[in-house]
Amino acid sequence: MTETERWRGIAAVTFVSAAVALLFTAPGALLVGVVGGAYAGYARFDTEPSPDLSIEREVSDSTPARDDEVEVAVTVRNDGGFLPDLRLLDGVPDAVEVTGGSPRLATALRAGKEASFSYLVEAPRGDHEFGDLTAVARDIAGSVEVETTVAVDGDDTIRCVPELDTIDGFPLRSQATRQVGRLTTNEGGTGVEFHATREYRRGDPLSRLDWQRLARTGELSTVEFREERAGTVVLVVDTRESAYVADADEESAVDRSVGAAGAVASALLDAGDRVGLASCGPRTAWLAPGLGRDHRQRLRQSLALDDAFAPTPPDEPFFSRTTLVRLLGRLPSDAQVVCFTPLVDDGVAAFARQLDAHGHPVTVVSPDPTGGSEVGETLARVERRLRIRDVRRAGVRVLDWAAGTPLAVALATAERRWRT
Amino acid sequence: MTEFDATPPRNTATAATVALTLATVFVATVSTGVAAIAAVGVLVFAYGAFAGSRLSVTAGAAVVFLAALLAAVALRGAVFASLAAGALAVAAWDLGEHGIGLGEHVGADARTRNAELVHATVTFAVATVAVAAGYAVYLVGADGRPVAAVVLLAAGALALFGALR
Repeated sequence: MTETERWRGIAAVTFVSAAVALLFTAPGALLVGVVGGAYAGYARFDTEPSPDLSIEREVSDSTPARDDEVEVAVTVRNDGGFLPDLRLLDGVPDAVEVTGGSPRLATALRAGKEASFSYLVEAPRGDHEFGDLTAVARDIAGSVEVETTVAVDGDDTIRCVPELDTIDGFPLRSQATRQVGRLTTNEGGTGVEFHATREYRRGDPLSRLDWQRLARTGELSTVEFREERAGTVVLVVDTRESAYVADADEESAVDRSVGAAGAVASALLDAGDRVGLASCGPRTAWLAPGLGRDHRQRLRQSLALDDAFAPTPPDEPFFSRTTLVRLLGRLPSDAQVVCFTPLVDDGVAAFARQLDAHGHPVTVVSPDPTGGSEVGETLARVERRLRIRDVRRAGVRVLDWAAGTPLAVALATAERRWRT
Repeated sequence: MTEFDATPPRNTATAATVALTLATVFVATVSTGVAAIAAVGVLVFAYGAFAGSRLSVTAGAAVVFLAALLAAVALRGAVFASLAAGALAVAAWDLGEHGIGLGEHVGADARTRNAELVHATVTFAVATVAVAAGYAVYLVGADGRPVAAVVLLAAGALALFGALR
């Protein structure tokens, strides 16, 4: 119980009235002082409220899709005595955004009566757990208040696992596994694109004989096409605390990175590549490269629910060296890496270069969080551009993804440059 | 995240401002000059009640209350008008401050009607009782006893009250 002390100065009303009455010998003024006395008594003779509430929460859809609005309805029943002034605040999870209504209510509740309120929320990816409800009960004059938290019955979680975004494709760098796939290599074999002709060897299929040459010169020769093979790709998302920078649209770079990782994973899986997932941050996640529908679901779940990709920044310390060594140990030798990072510091830039140097071709997809025209913002932008230039010079492909541009558009632009 | 809007609920702010305006009207029946001062207080109060400033709510209500005292000084016979104006000024302050507290706790977007209604009813009831009691004392006791004696009596009552707290 705390005193609100809102009536603290009320006695002054009486004293001032009395003083005026004395100074000017005006009995009317003295009578006005009665008001002060009345309110002082009102503030004084009141009982401490003892809220005894039972609360039920109902969530309209506990597994919403992305951008779905979920209605949360809360019903409060007063199991104790009359509460003349009751203020309630529902325990909305931190990452969840209230988009309509208010998770708060102020009401007066008689014994046994119920009150309810509802509001709309929009949940980002992940698991979100509702907390207890906070109740502040005041007595009728508002001179004392009691603050309690009350456990809530009913629904208390929202789980949002968004669908993976779709893009048409993602260009990988030239390095490939033994599996047949869509990466064109510099090796001859079966495929579509012409590679070379060579001398006929016994056992070559007849369909690949160069019949025109046979007709012209009488020599047997075999046509070879560029071998098309599948790639193994590990997507590494930068989830260090420093990557949680928001752009002009208030969207954090990690959110954009995770979205892009989902889109790239989806495109690569569609193309038959093996896709794995890792986080570069204090909270580690690792999903070995794989194929197929189950694997796509695993990727989707991991991106949405894994703590490592959570929408809120980590507070554990990050050890860059350990993470690199661990990742290198896990990466299949023929894997290439797509790294999602805002490139706001040298940490991940160096990380990408080192991975590249260890023989894993690296592509960096970098959501651009810089914007604005203040001196600091301009400086950050220039610094980031220089960093991108350095990374590119080290032989790493960088997709600089400006805020507000769809990934597919940014990718199409970058692809033109990568081809030349 | 939709920003939390801590402005006080409109109904309470309106009721409080109306109460204070009524107090000014009571003052105006005694003296228009004093009522002009009170009107300034109402403006300051209205700003505080709608925008959520405790300082201007308290200052505005205090100005009107002092105006009620001045009215009692200006015209000795105007007991009821100044008593009603004083009570309304305190009630208006109570409503205004309560509204600001509601704004801070639950914000402008939440439903607050029940809490406002109960509080307003009770605070006006207290004001009515105060006016009725005060006026009854005046009617019974206004037969030429020296003012100083009554003042001392009131001071004694207050001292007792202070000791009780």
